[in-house]
Amino acid sequence: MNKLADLLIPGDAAFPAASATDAPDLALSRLYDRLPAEELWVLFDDEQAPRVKDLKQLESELPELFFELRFALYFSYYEQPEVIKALRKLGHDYHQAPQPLGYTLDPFDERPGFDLPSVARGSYKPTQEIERIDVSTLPWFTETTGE
Amino acid sequence: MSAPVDVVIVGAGVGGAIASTVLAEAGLRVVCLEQGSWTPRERFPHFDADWEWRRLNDWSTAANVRQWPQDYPIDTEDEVTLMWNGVGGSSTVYTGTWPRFRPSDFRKGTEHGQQPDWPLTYEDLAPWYEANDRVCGISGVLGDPAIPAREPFQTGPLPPGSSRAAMRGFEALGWHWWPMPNAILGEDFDGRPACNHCGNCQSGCPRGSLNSMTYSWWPRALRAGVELVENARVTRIETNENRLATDVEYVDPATGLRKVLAARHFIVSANGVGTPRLLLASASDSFPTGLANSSDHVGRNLMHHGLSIVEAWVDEPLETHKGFVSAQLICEEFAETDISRGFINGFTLHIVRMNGAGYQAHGSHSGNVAPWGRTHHDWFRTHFDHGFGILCVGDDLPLPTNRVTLSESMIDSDGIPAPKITYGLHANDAAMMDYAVDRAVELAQAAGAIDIKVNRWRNAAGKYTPPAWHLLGTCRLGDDPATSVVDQWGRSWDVPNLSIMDGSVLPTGGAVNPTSTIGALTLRNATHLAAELIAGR
Repeated sequence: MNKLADLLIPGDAAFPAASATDAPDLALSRLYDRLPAEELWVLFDDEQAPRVKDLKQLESELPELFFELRFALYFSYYEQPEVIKALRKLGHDYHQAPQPLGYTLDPFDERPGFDLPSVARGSYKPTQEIERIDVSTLPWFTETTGE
Repeated sequence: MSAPVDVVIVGAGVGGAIASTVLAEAGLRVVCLEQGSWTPRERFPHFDADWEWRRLNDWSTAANVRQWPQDYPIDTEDEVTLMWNGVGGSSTVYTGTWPRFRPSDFRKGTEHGQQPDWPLTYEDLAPWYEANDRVCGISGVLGDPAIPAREPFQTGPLPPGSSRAAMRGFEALGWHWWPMPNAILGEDFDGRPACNHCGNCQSGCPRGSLNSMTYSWWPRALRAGVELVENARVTRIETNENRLATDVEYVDPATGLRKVLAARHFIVSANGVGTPRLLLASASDSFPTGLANSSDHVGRNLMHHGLSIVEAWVDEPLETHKGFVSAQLICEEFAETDISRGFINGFTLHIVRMNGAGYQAHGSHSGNVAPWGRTHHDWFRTHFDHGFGILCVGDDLPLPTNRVTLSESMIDSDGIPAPKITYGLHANDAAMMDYAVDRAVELAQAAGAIDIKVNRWRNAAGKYTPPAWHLLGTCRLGDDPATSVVDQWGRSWDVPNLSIMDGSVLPTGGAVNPTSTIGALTLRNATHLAAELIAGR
């Protein structure tokens, strides 16, 4: 699973490879929760390590299984503390969990042209001004469904 | 069987919470039966690293994914039906988006005849919108010229954060836009704290900043003496030879045995799927096609809103993981019928956020998934926290073929047939959504998007299979017993001591989220019912 995970999410200068975190193990446990074991065995071949072309083949021939693999791994990876740390180093104010800290945002600015329109636009039809519209130009209305 | 209580209410969601409160405060003895339970604060996923995974799995808003004991299976291939079965109902995990319907939403029969007129007007409902808002606590800004004037909001607006890129686009195009009213507190209110912008509204709010009925109406209901029975699934409503409802049968949570509870009046508030399901499951010799169903409209006219989403990524950081998820802004430029567009009715555009890092890497709402392999992190760096969503919400027609029936192949854990849902878009509504997507793409471009992805919620076969959060129309109110299930007060035409108070009674769905309208209508109708029941004592 580590090798498979690294094909999907290799590391780079800022982010760890998937196998440098607990993401592969977590993803595997999540896959076991979602899929029958016999489906999962397709992912693992004892004879040889997975290669990029194997993964491309899996993606094209078994797209639903590939979806599950990617789904489990991506979510597992981006909750790992090492990955959160990398996000922060890149300047993102990001917590591992939303609460209890939450976040601080710039307050609403009520000046027109800031957080309100520069010119207030828009209108609505008041009740007493609602009139019949001719729908005969629309091909799909051959009868009314209610009035 | 014990002596009848005054009112039994089935369901403790938005309708059940408000109706329970109003009737109990009027001095009536009210018992509310809820198939789920309270959701304790410690059960929310917001405090744990796996919060994103849980939102899509055991905490999913899709009952068929979540599969908690109180959930029932839903037999459908046409949609992903979303609901929350527990005290507070779906307000426990919704986004708190709180716009109001427009006056024309109540007059579609007059306007074009493809939907019915409501037997009441916007003006009739306006004071009830205000009264409900005063309890729930709504944030926003007055002065939106695209809707009728309203009373002051309970709190100031929430910070718009990532939606500032969309504002640029709206300004460039000259379209209407305005901060969306939200049932999320911009300031402390009524003992509840202001939002701290954590960005996980779609799993509910353990702080109480986002209005769940468990934070606003239910505390008041319990103070008024409502007897709330949790984990009690109602299996059917019984009637007598006078065609009056006499009692409900429910599964006793303590023993697993079936118990019976008698009442003078019954209210079903089990949402637009659960309510018709219960009425259809209550068929009897007197009501062979289902309770309150002489019109054959129980379960029909299901509406969810037409939905599509366009996501846009710009070349600047937007911090889109922070702040309330949906919706920061609303555009009502296209909300009224303009026949020159090639369809009737209208849609609104909502500017929404994209949740956390895992969700954004996995394609967010549109399926723009980060590539795997060597380019994965390059893509992530240019997309994470650089995007916003444009949700297109269209007024879908109430079609008799879009309906809830009883499944012939699925049952719940108590042996009750599951609801079977059949749903598809009318050609008019499909044309509307195509037009809406074009406008959303136009907005994304005007905002300077460097990448755009469209999700029309079509499956591999091209069939529209949307997430269905708004469960509307399946027991609609009207002024004609032949074409509606209940009268304007929510009272059954067929069973005089049976009322319905939830989204199922809405005859039209508007082009916006319906919770504020469901709440206002329930408050109006429960107040009317309380006066009648007190007078009839």
